This record gives sequence, structure tokens and C-alpha cells, in this order.
Amino acid sequence: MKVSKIREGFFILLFWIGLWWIVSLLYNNFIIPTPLDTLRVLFQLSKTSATYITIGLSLLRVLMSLFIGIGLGVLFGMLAGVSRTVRKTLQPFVLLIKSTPVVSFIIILNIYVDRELVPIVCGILLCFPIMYSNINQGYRMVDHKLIHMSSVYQVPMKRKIFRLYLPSTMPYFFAGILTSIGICWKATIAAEVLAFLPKSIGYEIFSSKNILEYDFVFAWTVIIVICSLLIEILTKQLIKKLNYYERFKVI
Amino acid sequence: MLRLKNINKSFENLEVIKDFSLEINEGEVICLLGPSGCGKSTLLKMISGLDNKYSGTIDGVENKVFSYVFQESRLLPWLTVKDNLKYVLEGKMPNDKIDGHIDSFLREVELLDFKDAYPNTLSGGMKQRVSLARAFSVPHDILLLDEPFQGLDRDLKEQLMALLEKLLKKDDKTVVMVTHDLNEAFRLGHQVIRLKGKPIISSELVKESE
Repeated sequence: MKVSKIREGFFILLFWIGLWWIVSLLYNNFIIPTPLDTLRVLFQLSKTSATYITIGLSLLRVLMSLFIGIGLGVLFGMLAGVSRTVRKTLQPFVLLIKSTPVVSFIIILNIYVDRELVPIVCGILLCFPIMYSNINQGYRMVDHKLIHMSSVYQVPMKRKIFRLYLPSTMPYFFAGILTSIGICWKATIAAEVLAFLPKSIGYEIFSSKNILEYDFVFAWTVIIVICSLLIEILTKQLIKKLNYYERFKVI
Repeated sequence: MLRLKNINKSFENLEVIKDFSLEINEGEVICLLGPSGCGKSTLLKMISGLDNKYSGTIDGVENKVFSYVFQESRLLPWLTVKDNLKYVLEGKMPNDKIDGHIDSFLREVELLDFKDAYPNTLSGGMKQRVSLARAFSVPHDILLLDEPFQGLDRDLKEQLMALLEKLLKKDDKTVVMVTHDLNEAFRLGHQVIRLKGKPIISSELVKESE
């Protein structure tokens, strides 16, 4: 079963790489480097320690944005679930963040925030509304029958929060994390590009593009995709280990 | 004594209870009989305080502790059977006595071997037995039973009824049970009261000979 799945995945990957190869050969392999050229650059990059420092620093920014954005989203999402006033007060702010294009954020942040912090703040601003909305929705979706049962048995609020409300919001929490990871990567790298931040993947992509090293642009993009996939796979494994969804199958 | 006086209750434009009064003696098992959807469960919710949007008064519930068996088991799916009981028991008795207390009630409902199981691994009947164990294990003054056998097949219903009968014999508290099954009512109740009218306006004592 697992072997056939790996084989299937391998052939799908092969198909897309083949397509990429054909396009690069048909078009112009300088403008669109072939997968082999990209792989060669990747190999070249893998031999320098600067590459790992760059990846490490970008990864650190992504993780910091994720942790802070998720933390704030959970905190305010819960508060908004409990209090209508908090929910109504935050509504315009959340709506504003959701509808503002990422590029506008980055440019505005470049004016007022230290450029080292621009990618982190930008990542936070994109993760926060996702997590906030998910937790808020999860909180409001808590089974009313369980709330009634807890009221009849006079379960104290603290116990209700930790054993009823928080576990009820878990599926929404996990879904929020998985969505945030992808968005956070994109936002952070975009912010690194526009902030022209040295020792960052975004900077490497942008400077490679400026000196017409398109194979490097592609190689760095592949690195981003690999890092993002790795984080997502690790998170999914962690969620699977917690075994939460299994318990939600029948309520 | 539990006294319901001149109770009126409506859901938007639908009047379900109108100027209804009822007296229930302490320590008795009272079965309220009525067809499905007549407002029996609403009465229980009002007695327990879950529903307070009504007019009239309910005396004799002040400072009383309730236990409630709902139509569905209402177990927290992410907690084991034991933790579901702990969820309602903590703070109501010394912590070092809770485990033993839970074990004795799970033994009573023949689910001691399943104390570490999650609700999704239990059958409908088993879940309802956990719900019974939860209701009886919590120290209470008034026990409310809202059609606890609804949706269960005949054999399972018979099995659970026998279990409830056994548990009720050991419990000398006031019990109010609602049902639409006359046999169920006579088997478990000291008194069977039929709710009359739609909306409910009065009640009458039902004799077994009927």
C-alpha cells in the first residue's frame, strides 16, 4: 500500500518535472532553466555554509511569525468567543487585515518598522486573522448540548474552558495552523524581497533575478517549496500523533 | 416539595405550556407521561434551570443539586469514560475518593472494563449506561430523566430499564422522569402523571388499571 503510494507520487512528480523540462527546452532554457540546471545550482548551493545560514534565518522568521501570529490568534479568538464586545471591536481590524493585499502591508511596514522586523510582522499579520477566525468559529461551534450538560452538573468555568471549550476548538486550531504555514512562508519571503533584507531567501531570489541568474531564482524557489512542505508534513505528523481527529469521529 | 405554579412557556408564537401547576413530593419517583413533542422535556429544562424563559414560579429548587440523564448520552468525546465522570465529580467530593467512587458506579453499570475507553468506541447502549453512571454518581437532590431509553432497541431498552430500576432502588432522592411509554412509567415510577392538553394546561394521576 505504502510502496504503491510512493510509486504513484514519484510518477506524478516525474510528469511535472518532465513538463517543466519540455517548457524550458521549447521556450528558452536561459529564461526558464531546466530541472537539471536547477538541480546543479541546488547542489552548488548545498556546498556553501552561507546557504544554510540564509535558510535558517528565513526559517526562523517564518517560525517566529507563526508562533506569535498563532498565539495572538488563539488568545483573541477565545476572548472574542467569550465576549461579544471583543468580537465586535476586533471585527473591523480583522476585516481590514483580511482584505488588505500583502504587498500593501509590506510597503506600509517598510515605512514604519525596522526592515529586519518587516517579514516577521507581515507573517504575524497574515497568520493572526486565520487563527482568530478559526478559533472564534470553533468556540462558537461548541456543542450546546455539552454546554447544557456542564451547566446542570455545575462544572466550574475553568474546567469547562480546559476540558470542553479548548478541546472542542482543536480541529479548528489544527486547520488554522496548516493554512497559516503556507501563507506565512509566502508572506515572509515576499516581505524579505521587498524589504531587500540581507541573509534571507527573499534577498537571494531578488538579487539573483537582478543579475539574471534565473537558475538561482528557481533553485531558491525549490528550497522554499521543500522547507514549506517539510514543516507541513512535520506538523501533520504531530497532529496525527495527538490522535485528536479519531476521537471526533462520533460525537 | 417541588412546586410548579402557573407556568407559561412559548417558543416564539407557539404556546407549549399554559397556566400549568404541579406538585411533586420529595423522595418520590414521578413519571410525567405525554406524547412526543408536547413539552415534557421543556418542563425538565425549566425545573433544572436550563431554561428560565418562562412565566410562573418553580419552588423547591433553590440550592438543590441536579443530576440529569438526557435523551442522548452527552459525553465529551475527547475524554475517556472515567474522565467523563471525573469531569462532573471533581470538587464535589475529596479527590482521593473520586477514583474509587467512579469504579463502584462503573461496576454497577457493568462498564468497569471500559473505563479507559473513549465514547466513540462504545455502542449506544453503553454510552447511555455511562450517562446513567454519571447521573447517579454525582451527589444530588433531584434526578431528572428525559426519555433515557429513546432510540434504543427493545432488548437494550429492557436491559437499561432493569439497570435503572436497580439504581433507583438505591437512590432515595426526588426523581422526575418524562416518557411517552406507559409501561416504562408504571415500572419505574411511584406515581404516573399524564400531562393534558396542547399546550399543556393540566395533569392527572394515572392509575395502573387504566
